[in-house]
Amino acid sequence: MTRSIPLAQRRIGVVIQLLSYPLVYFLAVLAGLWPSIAGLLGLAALAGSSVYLYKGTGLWQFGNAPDDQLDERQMQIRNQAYRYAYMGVSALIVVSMLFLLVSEELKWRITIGYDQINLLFWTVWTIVMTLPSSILAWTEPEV
Amino acid sequence: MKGEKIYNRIAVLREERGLSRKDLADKVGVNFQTIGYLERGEYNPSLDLAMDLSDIFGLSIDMVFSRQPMRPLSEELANLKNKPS
Repeated sequence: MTRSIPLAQRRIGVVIQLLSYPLVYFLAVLAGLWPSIAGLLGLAALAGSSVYLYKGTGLWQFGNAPDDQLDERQMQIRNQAYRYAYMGVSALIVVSMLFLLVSEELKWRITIGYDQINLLFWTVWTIVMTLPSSILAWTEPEV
Repeated sequence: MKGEKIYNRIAVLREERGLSRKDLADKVGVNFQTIGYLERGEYNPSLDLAMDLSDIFGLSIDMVFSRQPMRPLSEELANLKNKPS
């Protein structure tokens, strides 16, 4: 790592990064923009927050590097992050399935159109893609 | 599985030999930050890494690592000297 971000600031960065896509999308749609433009703005926000969080800190490489580029401690921490990410995504899927089951039983009216599915897909995809590195950014102590 | 804490003298031995964390890290093939985590006791090394570090310092493994908090080396040497052979 060549650039270091204090832990508290890093954690704020992780929250912003994980929420950037749905938040910007939602705000842009509320502001009356087309969903496709809102989606692009959301992706731009995600890219911007990811660049801030990972550029030069080495955390992105740390989360995605093959084993032979990591030392024993880094591998141990990276594997732990993958385990937490796997657990997190599994929990997300279970909660979503339970929600759908319950909403069906309780006859909640949920209208899901293309825009909602699109938002859901990109939100989940961006979380899944960045989760291991986000966990590392959240947990790694300061140097 | 989190093991018991392992104490070490890496920081003192490294300073004595005029090595930076980066120098020592390069010698044992780890990231320099890992040396920092080791020195602060935030990471327990594998047996392989512990042996490599002991070799670099030219000391036996129990002189570098211990399950008990480390006493100053001078005190330990004095104890060894006073031990009946």
